[in-house]
Amino acid sequence: MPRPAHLAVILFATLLGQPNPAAAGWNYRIGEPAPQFQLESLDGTTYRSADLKGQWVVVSFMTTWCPFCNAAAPHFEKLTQDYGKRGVKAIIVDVSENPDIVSGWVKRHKLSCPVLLDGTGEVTTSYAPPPDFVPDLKREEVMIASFMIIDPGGTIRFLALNEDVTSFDARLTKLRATLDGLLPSQ
Amino acid sequence: MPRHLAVLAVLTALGATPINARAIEVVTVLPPSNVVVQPGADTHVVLQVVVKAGYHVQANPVENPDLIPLTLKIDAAGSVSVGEPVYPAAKRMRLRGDSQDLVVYDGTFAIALPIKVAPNATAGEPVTLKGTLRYQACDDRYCLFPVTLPVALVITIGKR
Repeated sequence: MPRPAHLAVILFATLLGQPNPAAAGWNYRIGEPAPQFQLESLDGTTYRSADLKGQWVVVSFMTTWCPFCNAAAPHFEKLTQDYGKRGVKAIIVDVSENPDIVSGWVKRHKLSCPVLLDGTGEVTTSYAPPPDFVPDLKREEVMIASFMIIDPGGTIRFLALNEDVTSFDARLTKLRATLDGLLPSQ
Repeated sequence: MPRHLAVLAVLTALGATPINARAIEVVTVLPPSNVVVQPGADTHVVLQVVVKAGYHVQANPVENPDLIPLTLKIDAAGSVSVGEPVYPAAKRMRLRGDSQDLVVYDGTFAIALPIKVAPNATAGEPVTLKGTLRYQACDDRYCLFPVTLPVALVITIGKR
């Protein structure tokens, strides 16, 4: 029979290995200040989060090889065009890829928004939910194909992660509806 | 030993997953065992690939060239030369809102690897073929970074 202390350690270890039920809520980061960043875009321009203050920003974290990202890319371009007219700045942060590969992908999808290169994945990680959300994935992996709205004050107002394949929203319907609710009426 | 390291050591020994650790091994390659091939033979060996339940990997070939196809690369060694792998037929799936199917593998599937043994190969000689299996896996919610797994299989040259 294991001693009680051993049982406590086993229980603790078991709990650490289990997903936190709170993760199912997946409303992490909303209401928090968006982490600061400074990244270079594909065309060599430096983007600082501080420079984006004062405008609504939509950020998507993507990779060229991610099927979800490929499905959403044309709809993200449409959103860039549609909401750009309303003062929304759309940005893609590419996660840990070779710029040449990213450049080809951007051309194929005819993406017009800035594509920032997060070569180390550190910025992506800084935006990710804490480790109790899908604990067995790298934080960058959790963020791939996610979509975020940051308000003019720099606060995160919306974060869409892939809850499941049936809720995956390639057409960005929920993101658009949320923007429509947040932006001043036209 | 600092206290937190001691706790980590205990948890590791118990098989628990420390937070932030990479716990998922999505693909396992099962090379054939006891492969004996005659000198001069022109044949193939079959590698079984097992994908963890709930996951799929992009097939070979992919239909969207931006995606990363599962790719087996094995180098020739000694008296054994290697051909292009033959991949199985893929399954089709479509993400909601997407206009294009994905072609994927899941479960257990086989890759056939053509091999040729030189006619003058020495009987009893073990030849280790080494290479890699590259894949990119997703489940129904998340996609994982591409992975390159080392692969090795041993071929023994039989008697004529």
